[in-house]
Amino acid sequence: MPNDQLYEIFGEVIASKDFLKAFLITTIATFLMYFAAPTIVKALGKEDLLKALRVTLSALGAFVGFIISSAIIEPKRIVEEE
Amino acid sequence: MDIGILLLQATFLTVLSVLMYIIIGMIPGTDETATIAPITLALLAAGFDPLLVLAWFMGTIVAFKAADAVPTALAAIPGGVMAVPQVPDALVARKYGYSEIILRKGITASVIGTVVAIVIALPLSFYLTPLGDLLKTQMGPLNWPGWVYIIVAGIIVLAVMSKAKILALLAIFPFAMLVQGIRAVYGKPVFISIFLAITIGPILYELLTLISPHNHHLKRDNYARIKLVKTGKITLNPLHHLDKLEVTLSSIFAGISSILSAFMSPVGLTILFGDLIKEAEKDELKGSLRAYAVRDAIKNATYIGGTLIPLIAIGVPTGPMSAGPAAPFFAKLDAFNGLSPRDVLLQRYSTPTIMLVIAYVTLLAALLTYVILIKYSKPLTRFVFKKIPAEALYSTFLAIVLVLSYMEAGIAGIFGSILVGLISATFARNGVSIGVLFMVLVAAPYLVALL
Repeated sequence: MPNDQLYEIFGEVIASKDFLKAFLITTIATFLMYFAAPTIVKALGKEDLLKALRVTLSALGAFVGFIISSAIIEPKRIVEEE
Repeated sequence: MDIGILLLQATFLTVLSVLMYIIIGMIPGTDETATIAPITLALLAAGFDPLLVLAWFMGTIVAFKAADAVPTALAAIPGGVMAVPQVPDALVARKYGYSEIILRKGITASVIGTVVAIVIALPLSFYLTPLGDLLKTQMGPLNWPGWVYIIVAGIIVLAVMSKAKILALLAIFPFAMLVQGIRAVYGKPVFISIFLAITIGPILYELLTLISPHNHHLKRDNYARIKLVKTGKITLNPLHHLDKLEVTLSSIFAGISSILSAFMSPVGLTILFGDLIKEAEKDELKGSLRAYAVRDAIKNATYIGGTLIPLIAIGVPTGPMSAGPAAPFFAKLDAFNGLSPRDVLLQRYSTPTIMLVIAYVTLLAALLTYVILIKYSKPLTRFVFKKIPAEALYSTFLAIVLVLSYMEAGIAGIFGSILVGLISATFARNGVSIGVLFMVLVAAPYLVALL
């Protein structure tokens, strides 16, 4: 059993520390991509598409954050099969 | 754009969204709007072609609504809000050892609901287009455009159908004032961040409770225990899964619901018609099997009809579905020079092209979802329960909401979203249908002008 405090939210059990970890990872990844967008867009030579690519890159950042936090956080479910 | 290339891109997006949303649909506690709207909005705000985003969206709702009942059948845990009414029926099925049968019935019925909704709602939405023009002219004692009356009527109906009727009615004007007040602070008529704040509100509220010292009731000592029922190999032949009466009832109620959902709540319709069917049958098991199947058909039909009729015919979000998950299509976006994706869609493409692409992607999504879920529902459920942490999912949607709020109104946008989220959650947690809040957001300028 983890030493971390567990909580039930929407029928799911989560750990506060793990949530904080996941939140920091995804938010930082998302905003990093948001603020890096102008540089990336410049490097690609598509400055006219900044606004559009900015959202796409941010969403991509969120997705990368999701993958990373899924890999390092254990789901708080015990699955039993009949 | 060449129709071949268009269909190819639509195929790619639909397959992608089906695969992604089968997984998300199975995760318990995922709210439909919170998981669909931010990504749809991100795609639209990025300037992707509205028809292609619509293809993505249709794949999403077909897969999501079919998949969210899978953990309900296998573990009595609803995959989402819409599957909650199916839990009691799943428990009855489990008692009699019918879990696998109810699983197959649900998946098959959701395909029926999808097909019926496309056949009825898609042509109807184009047929009703003249109505849309009429609804845009100002009329009546308040000199509102016609659609505003429909939305206000919808708000009142939804409020009266809420668990907390009086609170829901009381919420209308204060919430409209909150929306207009925030817009005044920002100095612009923002829509996106307020809309997203409502969708993410309930999750935000629960997460903030964790910081509060009064969070004891949420504390747990143990991991969640999930019991998966045994299943064997399931045949792909849909005729084996439903009897004639179930097919008939699923088709009829899906058809009716696909039209009613243009103005009415999908959850409300699922509960109402499902309960009617259950109560008409004396035998407990038969009634539950039938109600479970029909509810699955209604879920898909309401999502499709509730999207397409307002999107194509009316042009303004008149119901909880179009003001909720599908709302990004109605928002005025910079990526489209201040036009809504909906307007761009209708200007850019002819009626036959739109009909062809929507019918194609929806049926493709239904077929894919059916085959995947019938063949792999058990291993998929096991994968989702064992590998996807709720922490990661909630964080992802929060991050998307935060970044879009920041983009729209800077730091103030983030605080504004927290404020709207907390107030919406307070209403929603106390029994106000969240659809009321979505629709008040749309009608807010007109409502506040009355005061």
